[in-house]
Amino acid sequence: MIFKKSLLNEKMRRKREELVNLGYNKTDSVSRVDLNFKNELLSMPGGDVLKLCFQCGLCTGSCIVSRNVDTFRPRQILRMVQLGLKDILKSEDIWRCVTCYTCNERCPQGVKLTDVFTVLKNRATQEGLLPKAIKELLKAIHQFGWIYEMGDVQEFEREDFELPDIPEASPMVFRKIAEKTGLNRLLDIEEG
Amino acid sequence: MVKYALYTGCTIPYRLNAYEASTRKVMDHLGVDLVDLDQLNCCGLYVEPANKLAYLALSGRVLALAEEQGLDLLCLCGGCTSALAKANAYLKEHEVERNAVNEVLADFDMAFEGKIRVVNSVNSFVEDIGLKTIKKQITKPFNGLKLAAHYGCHLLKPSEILQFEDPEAPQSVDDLCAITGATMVDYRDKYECCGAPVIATEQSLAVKIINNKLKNISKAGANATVTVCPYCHLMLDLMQLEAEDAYQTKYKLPALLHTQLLGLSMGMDAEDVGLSLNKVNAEKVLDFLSE
Repeated sequence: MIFKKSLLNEKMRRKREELVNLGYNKTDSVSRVDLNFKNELLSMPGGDVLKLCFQCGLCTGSCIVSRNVDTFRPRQILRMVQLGLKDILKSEDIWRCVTCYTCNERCPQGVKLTDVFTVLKNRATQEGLLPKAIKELLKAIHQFGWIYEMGDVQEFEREDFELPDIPEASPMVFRKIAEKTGLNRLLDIEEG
Repeated sequence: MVKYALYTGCTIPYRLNAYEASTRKVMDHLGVDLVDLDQLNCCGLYVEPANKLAYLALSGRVLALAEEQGLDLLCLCGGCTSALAKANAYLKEHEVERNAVNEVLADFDMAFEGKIRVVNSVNSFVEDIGLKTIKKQITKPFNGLKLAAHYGCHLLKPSEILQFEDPEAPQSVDDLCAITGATMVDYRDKYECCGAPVIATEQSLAVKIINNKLKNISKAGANATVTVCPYCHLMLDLMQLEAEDAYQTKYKLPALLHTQLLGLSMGMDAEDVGLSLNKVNAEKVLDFLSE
């Protein structure tokens, strides 16, 4: 296959644009290195494996999201983390992983990329960067016990099938766990 | 006799009661005993990205409920299977987090001990019940029905935790469906994700992913798809309509749950397995049933 050079240039231009939008340019990226950030992630549960990455790119080559989103490159994300470029937390890309575990399975270095993504998402959440859509789901669990509010539609359907009552989940369980683990604070929910 | 504690989670009662109904009927037919648990809570799937400890505590509590019954936990949803199986393995291995979770669970007079297995429905059919036993109950096999199996990622991976089969070349769902008399067809990128996990944050990406899958399945000439997870099912069924809109195309490809397929071939009525609740009309698969 012949590479279409113009297409490649277009992809690189878009990637650069995205990085600039994140606040990078050629001259100041070094000053954004934050070694504490890297060490912090290494110490989080599941974060210890990220230092094993030697940048072969099998993850990106295996990734269904990379095939559909030009800017999404797991190998680059891993490198940014290794370099201590904390601004990766602001990137929408860390929320694009579909957690299919394909890269996890294939990584020759045993890097558990899906776990690294979870670490990044947890850390971004601490910075108040949890996407609104997920925050709404968590607030629903706080209110209803599940991510949905079950109602008549479900009850009638279950009666037709002679299924037992809708499984009860007391919101109190989630509230207590959210309070004890500090999740409440991250969701802007008052304690108590 | 095979016996489990049942965890349906939330998506099945909310959106896919046909899955629970067909599963209960098929399991009953096979002599499997299902025990319902009380005072449940969410598995924590959506909590994991926000706060891992809160997720481990939620999953840990569900596991502890099944431990109290002394039963393995049967999950029907890929999301629940993944969340609970991962938490089960993680809490067994990591003492610090286990102690932290047990401190939270002490408030409910409960504790995680790591005594049970988390089993998915496919896992149960293939390994615990066995295809030979199921095959004996197939009284009305399909004839000439071509099916494309979709494997839920979270039933197989991470493989070192789920310990089920090789995620690069799984066979279980094809083997299970083949005993109903259906012919299984392969298609391009068969083992790839359905896109559901990003549907809340980026629906257009999820639709793009499922559209590619539907395109590949249609090319392979399948009459219908088979799904084993409520999220995958909603992607292949309900979101097929979105994909048709977004990409100006028509697939009209019915999506069957594996338990609907089993139920029908065991002689159950379409109503018993809730076939009319499928979003893409699936009645045409009934034409392939032998008399």
